[in-house]
Amino acid sequence: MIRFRKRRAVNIGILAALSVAAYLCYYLNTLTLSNGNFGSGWILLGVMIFLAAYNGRKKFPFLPLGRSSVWLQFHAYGGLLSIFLFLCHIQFRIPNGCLEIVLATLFVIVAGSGVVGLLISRSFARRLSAQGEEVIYERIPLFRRNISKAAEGLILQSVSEMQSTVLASFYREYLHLFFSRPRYFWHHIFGSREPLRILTRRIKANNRYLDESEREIMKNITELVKVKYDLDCHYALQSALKGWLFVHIPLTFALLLVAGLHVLLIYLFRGGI
Amino acid sequence: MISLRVKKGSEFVADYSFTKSEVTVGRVADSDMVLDLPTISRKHATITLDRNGYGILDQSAFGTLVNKRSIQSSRLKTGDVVSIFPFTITVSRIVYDSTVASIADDYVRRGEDPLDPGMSYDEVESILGFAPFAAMDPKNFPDKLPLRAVIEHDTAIRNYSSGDLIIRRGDYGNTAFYIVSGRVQVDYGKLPSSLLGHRQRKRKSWPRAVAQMWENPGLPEVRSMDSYKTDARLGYRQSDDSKTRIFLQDISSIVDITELVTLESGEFFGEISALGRTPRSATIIADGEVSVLEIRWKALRNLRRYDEAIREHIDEIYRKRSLDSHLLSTPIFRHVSNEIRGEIKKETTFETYGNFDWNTSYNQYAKRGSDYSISSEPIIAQEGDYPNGLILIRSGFARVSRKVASGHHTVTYLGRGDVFGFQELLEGWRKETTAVLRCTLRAIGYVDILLIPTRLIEKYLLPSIPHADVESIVSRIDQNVLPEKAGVSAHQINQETLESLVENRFINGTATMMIDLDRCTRCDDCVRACGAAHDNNPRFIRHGKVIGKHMVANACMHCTDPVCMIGCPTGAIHRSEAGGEILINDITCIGCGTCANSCPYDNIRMVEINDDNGDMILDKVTHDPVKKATKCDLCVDQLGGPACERACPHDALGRIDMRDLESLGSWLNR
Repeated sequence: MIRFRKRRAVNIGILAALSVAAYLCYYLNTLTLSNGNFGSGWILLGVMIFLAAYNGRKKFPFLPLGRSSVWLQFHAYGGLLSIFLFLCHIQFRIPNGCLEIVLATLFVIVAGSGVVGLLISRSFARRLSAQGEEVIYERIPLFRRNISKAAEGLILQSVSEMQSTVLASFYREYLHLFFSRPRYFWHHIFGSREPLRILTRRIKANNRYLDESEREIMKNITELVKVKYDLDCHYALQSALKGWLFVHIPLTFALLLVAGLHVLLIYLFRGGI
Repeated sequence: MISLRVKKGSEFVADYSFTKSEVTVGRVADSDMVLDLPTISRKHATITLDRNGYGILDQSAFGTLVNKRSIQSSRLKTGDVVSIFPFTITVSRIVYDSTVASIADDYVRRGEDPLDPGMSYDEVESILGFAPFAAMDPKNFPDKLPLRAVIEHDTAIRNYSSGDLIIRRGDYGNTAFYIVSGRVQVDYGKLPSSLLGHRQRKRKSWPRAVAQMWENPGLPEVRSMDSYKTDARLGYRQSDDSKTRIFLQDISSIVDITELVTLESGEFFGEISALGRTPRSATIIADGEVSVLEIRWKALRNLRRYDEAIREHIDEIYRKRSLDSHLLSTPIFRHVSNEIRGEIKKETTFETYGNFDWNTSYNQYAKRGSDYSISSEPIIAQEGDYPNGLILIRSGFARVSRKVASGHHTVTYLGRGDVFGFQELLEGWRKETTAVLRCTLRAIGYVDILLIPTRLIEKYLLPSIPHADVESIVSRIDQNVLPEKAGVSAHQINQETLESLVENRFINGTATMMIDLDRCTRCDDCVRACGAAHDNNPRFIRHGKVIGKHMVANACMHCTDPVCMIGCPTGAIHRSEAGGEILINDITCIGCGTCANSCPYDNIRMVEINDDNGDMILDKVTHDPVKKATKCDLCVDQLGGPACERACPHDALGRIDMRDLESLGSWLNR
């Protein structure tokens, strides 16, 4: 069984060789003073169509079209190669026509989202497994509701049993919003636990106003805060892992459409070149 | 303990206290309670202890009364008065202490129901009168496990009508049968598998595979009622105990009756399969009205242990049918000539350790952790002992462990075809000394072993293996049992992972779905692919036990020991003849849930089925929703193999054969 590290080294080697070859072709072409953009453009379009075909492969999981993981390897390294081909095609300059700017912008967003997607696929997966308990994304709202109910139950218990509103006031001010919906999305994305530290600090600070029984309830609520924070982390990371595709895939099709228009216009207005 | 006070009229005769499980009352001198008068029969009555407590069975010509009522058999409690004219026996005290009540306790502890809860005293008596049991000497059975208790708890009389399928070829079962009356026909493969409830599933053609794009229904669990047409050659009927039985309408029109083998009353069948947890090798069909005694594997094992005739009978059959092929399939015996193999076969002994019904206590073991499970596993061979022979694993699994400080460290696990003790025997033979075992061998769940005495190994086997082969065999065995460094097995399997895989019995899987959580992006492409390949119904849940950074998902593992296949009344769940996958034939599944209840890993789901309009399909008689058992079928009918594995973009999901430790180690450490 091939080790991932070895596979990565081999793939990077092939990518580097292909990139060097592409650059040499580009360089030699510039020396001949001929217009090599037709060639690089067609190659780039071909690579982009091949990259987009991966989405097609995913639609037919029951057909023996090769393993998705092999496709992804071609897709990821082909995508990186396409960035270099794109730079050669635009001759390492910023395009100036309206359509070209739109096309280049789409390419940058698609390629950028792809790179981001690849990076988060590798890093967020590890962070999720480090969280410990596995949570199915679709069940997160249910778990959130259960946690919120449990927290509210504890507060109601404190009001009815202790005849005190300190806990209830604290809950309303600092915790109600936290328990009612997903929070701190970007903190979770960037791996910050600062919001949890702040919440815990506030809870500790509030403890001086509580009697023994209320402190016991607050201890349970603190546990729920931690559970909810971890659940939000699952939500944020899994949302990001699913969400980047909503940028990457639709814009890929937009890119292909605009690229097609670009080819059409080029051939319509090539002026005998 | 039962205390009895005997009086003759008002005259006190004697007080007795018995702790044994069977007390005989009679005139003869060797009775436990001698009542020497002509009105007393030689063997007048027997007081027995069984799982329900003490009881008395009248065996006299003159009769016995309990509390002034004439009885054939009766339960006894403190204060009861047994009248055997002219004596009265008062039950002065009954104490179910830990020793005496061990039988009842044992059954309660096992949490098992008797095979036939309604079995009466008279039925037990009549079974004890059948030829093989009548010939047994009850004294050979220990007090804690008398022959009567074995019969009462682990056997049942079953009556079949003509054409009933008693067992099917390919099924797994934990019972054997003894023909009490009538006769049966044995089919070794002439009957088409469709009549056995099975279905041959062929791979889809390309056009059929592509057609799934638009043919897959949009609603869950849709079935076409047209597919549920019953084969006209089969019939369904209810047995005496309200279980569904399948019968062949007219056997002679289906198969040439002369090609079948007839078994008559007094013969056994199914014993090797029940004791070895191997698939049934034949289909048994009732020929006319047949009465058979069904014997649970536990009873069979105990009968074999304590009765020489049964032991010889079973061993002889195993030697004849399976031993040779087992030895041939074990690499170290490949060089041995037929003559030597014959010598070895003569003295090879068979032993079973552990519990075939391990699935019933699985959760208890899995929850309590390694210390509990390892201490409850029967030891087959102990570290530091001298090996008394070469152990071959015939079926089941065994843990190889080594003592570390006060605990035990799992080194590896062994399965069918593996050997234990070879290295030590070789070392002893070479150095002309006796080497001690370096590891302990324990039964995980159950394990069947073959033990070939050291003398035979030294005399025949070791000299016959070429030197070069010895080295390669030793290095291979070393790889299995000798870790290179503490905490990591030779296959680079992390110690925690190895222990958990053994603890949770995931080693049973031949296609265990493992997910590397460090690579899984939770995209659910695997679940979608599974759904697409199964009419939009995913056949697994991406959830399950997490071991380190790997998850063992709730997907059928296609086990080596498929406990789910035991007890299916229609044979709907079966092992594919082509690839060995465990499959469910949706057409013959009657939704009884036996398989789902038996699966210790919760990998079989019962679903309510719908018609094309999404309306629930109801049973015509009971009007309850029709249920079907569903599970992963490893995409046997799809092109390209398991869709889940092929659909994973990140190489996170694998279907792992746990028998192949090397591949498992490589996969875990990619």
